[in-house]
Formats: sequence, C-alpha cells, structure tokens
Amino acid sequence: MYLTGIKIHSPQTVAEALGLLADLKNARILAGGTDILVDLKQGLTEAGDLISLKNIQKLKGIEKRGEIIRIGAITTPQEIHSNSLIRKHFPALAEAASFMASAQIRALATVGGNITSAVSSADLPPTLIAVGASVELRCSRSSRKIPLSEFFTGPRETVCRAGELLTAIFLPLPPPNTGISYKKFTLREANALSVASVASRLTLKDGKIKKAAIVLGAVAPTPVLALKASEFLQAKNPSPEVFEEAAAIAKEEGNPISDIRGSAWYRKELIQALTRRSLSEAFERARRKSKKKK
Amino acid sequence: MEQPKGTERIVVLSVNREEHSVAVGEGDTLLDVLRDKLRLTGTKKGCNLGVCGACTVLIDGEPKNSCLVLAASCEGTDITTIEGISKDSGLHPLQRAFINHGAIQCGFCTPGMVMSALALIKRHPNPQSEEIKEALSGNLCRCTGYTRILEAVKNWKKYEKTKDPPSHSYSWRVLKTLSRDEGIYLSRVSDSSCRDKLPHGL
Repeated sequence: MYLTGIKIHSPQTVAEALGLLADLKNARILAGGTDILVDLKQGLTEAGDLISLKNIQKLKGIEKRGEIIRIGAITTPQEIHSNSLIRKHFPALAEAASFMASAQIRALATVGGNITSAVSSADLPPTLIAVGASVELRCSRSSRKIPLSEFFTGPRETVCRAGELLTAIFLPLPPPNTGISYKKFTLREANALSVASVASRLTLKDGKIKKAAIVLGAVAPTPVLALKASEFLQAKNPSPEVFEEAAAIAKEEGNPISDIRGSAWYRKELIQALTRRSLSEAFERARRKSKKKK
Repeated sequence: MEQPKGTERIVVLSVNREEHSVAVGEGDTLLDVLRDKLRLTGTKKGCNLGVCGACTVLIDGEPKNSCLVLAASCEGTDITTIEGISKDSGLHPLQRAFINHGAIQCGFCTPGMVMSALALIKRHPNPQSEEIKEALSGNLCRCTGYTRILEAVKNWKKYEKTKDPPSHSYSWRVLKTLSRDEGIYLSRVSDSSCRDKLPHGL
C-alpha cells in the first residue's frame, strides 16, 4: 500500500504541463489525488509519471468574465460550495458540491477530476450539463471548447484525447427567471455515491416554461440529458401534474443497471421521484427570482 | 539530518509550528511521513484509501485525509496533527470533553475525530448537532455509536476551564476503563498504543 516507482512532475504553468503531457507518453494527471492515488494504492491502475497540477495558479479559482463564470479545473468542491458567485447564480451547484463525499475529500478533490474521471454517479456533471456548461480542453498545440453534454462517451471514457488537459469549466449566467435544482438519492447521508440523481433547470416566461433541461445521473453509462422529458415541458404551464408527466417520461430515458447500490427497476422509480422533486424545486426557485424582480 | 536515499529529496514541512527537514520519496504520503519519519504516530492509518478519516490532519486549517496527500506537495503549508493541539497547560478542551463524555473506546478513530471537530469549532464555536454530524461524517467509528462523540463536541466549551483528568491516579484507573485511559494517550502523545510500538532498532 506504499506508492513506489512513481515520479511526480510539478509544472508551474499550463504550458509546462502540456509540454510534459506531450513528451511523457504514459503520464497521468494528478489533481486532487482522491481517485488516482486510491487506484494506484490498490493496484487498479499503473502510472510511472504523474503530472501534478497543484502549483498551477491559472487552474485555480472562480471568476466572472462578463456573462460567463469560469471555474478553474483544480477548484475543490469545498471552494465551489463556499464561493459567493456560485451561491448567488448556481445555488444548486453549491449544494451538489456540499453533499459530495466527506469534508476531508471535499477539501482535496477537484471539479476537473470529478468530470474527467467520467463516473456516471459523479455529483457535479448533471447540474453543470443542465446549466449549459462547457469545458476547455487544451493540448500543447491547440485548444478547444466543447459543451459538457458532449464530453462523456462511456464509463471512464471521454472525448479528451491523449495530451489534452481539461483546464476550465465555463458556465453561462442563467437567464432571468431561471431555477436550478439537484436531487440525489444515496444509501447514507454522507460518504456515499448516488444511486440515482437528477438535475433540472427551468426558465419561465409569462407564466410558461420557456426552456427546460433535465439531466439524469447514475442511471446510464454517462450522465444523460432526458431530451423527451425536457422537450415535453417546453411552452407548458408549470403545475404539479405537468411535472408528474415529465417525470414519467424521464423515467424511461435512463438505462440503469442493477448493482450493489440498487436494482435497475428501483433506479427507474428513483428517476421518476427525483425528477418530480427536482422540477418542483427548480420551479419554486425560478418563481422566487421573478417575484424578487417585481 | 537524515540523508536522502535513492529518489528521495529533502523537503521542509511545517508541522505543529515546527519546521522539519525530512527526506521523502516521490510517492510518500503525508501520513507515512508523519508516522514513519517524524514519529508522530498519533495520526492513525486506517483504510489508507481516504474513507475512514483516521488519518485526518489540518492543512492550512482545513481537515484533509493525510493518506491522500503527497508529503512533497505540502511544502509551504501549515500542518497540524493531534500532537500539536494540546497546550502547555495540558489537553485541549475538546480532548477533555472526549474523555469526560466517554467518547473514546478503542481510541483508534479519536485523533481524526478530534481534528475534524477542531476544524468545526474554529468556524462555529457553538456547533449544533446537525453541524457536528456533517463535520464528522468523514470519520468512521466502529465502537461508540457516535452519540457520545456528538455530545462531547457539543459540550466542548464546558471544558475550557476544567483541569485534565489525572490519568494515572487511582480514581482515574478505577473510574475509567483501560481502553479509555489508553484513548487519552492516543489523542495526546505519540508512540503509546501497542499498535504503534516501533520495531526494534528503528
């Protein structure tokens, strides 16, 4: 259980890190270490060279640039939870961060790691996808920005190519009268992976739903956008009955497996219940916001 | 000072307000360096995988699992372990609260519990039950059922002015079980429990 035979590289800039990634063929990224160090200790993965991102200032912190919030890739869940910009504009994201793992892990883990590990039960991606976040992927020669909804391709698989580094997450500020909510079900209240989770976002206009997005976590190989349920809500008058109907549609949009945390059948039931709760809360938040303005 | 071997290098770690120059390997976790090199064995190695919280230390005031932190990356940070929280006058009031509330049984989780609780009371000197549960949810205890630990943290302020229990007095030995007696040591000094006897010659 001691880590032997690894070499840590500690670049000071993104450019240096990208250079190392290009040069060292089998190098792995070390961000918070809460996944990779555990896997290395258990012999589940191998790595000779680890590129630590810890010293790269540009990958840290949360800032507002015009109508966009930028979250650096090695920002911790603890920082996301306590950040005033996130709490103001994306309270659901602050909540999602606060329910992750334990306090000790929340102070170590990173948002970039939570995304690039590509585990479908991860807590931050559903809400990030629901609000239309995109990620910046850089390599030594180029840089691209893609919507997070197109990032995941399978369990532990993403569109990230060899030599690419996820450097930042960009969140467009929500339009007026928007409410966002994240609900998850776990077997314990802390230190537990989601059995199922649902993030939803509703934007209201003149009493009707102008735009809706429902994202399901832990019920498919990747987080999935429940397209049919989201489209169903378009231009509808929000009501408990409408949300119930959308939840019934969303239930069929996951493709869960049975595992140690729950059966496929149970997960489908969870999707329905969590979608309904999440839509109600998103609606309440959107309405509260519009009331405040008036 | 110890000479670095092989791929080891010397790093300077600030532990309990003291600077230590120590030879560390690339993959050495802070936990292993604290225990094996600095002999600060109050910090416990439980799962070694970031789940149990027994290895919790404060890094720049935040509780973190020292088994998931590489020691070499801790240069320039301020590390506090269980050995660094007692004052000249004796135990930290939190430690006295743990003893008086019977919150220690085998004692193995105690140092981690105390460190997480310490981070909490620095933010919220009068924590409510829910806040305590939340703050300690990354620390597993297999003996106590947690109730006494919660009570100890909730009532810690009452022990700010009290004296340390006389750990070797007759009354202490009669009134407290041996395991609790050991528990104080676990949360107070370094190489006291039988688990932490170092092999001969080290």
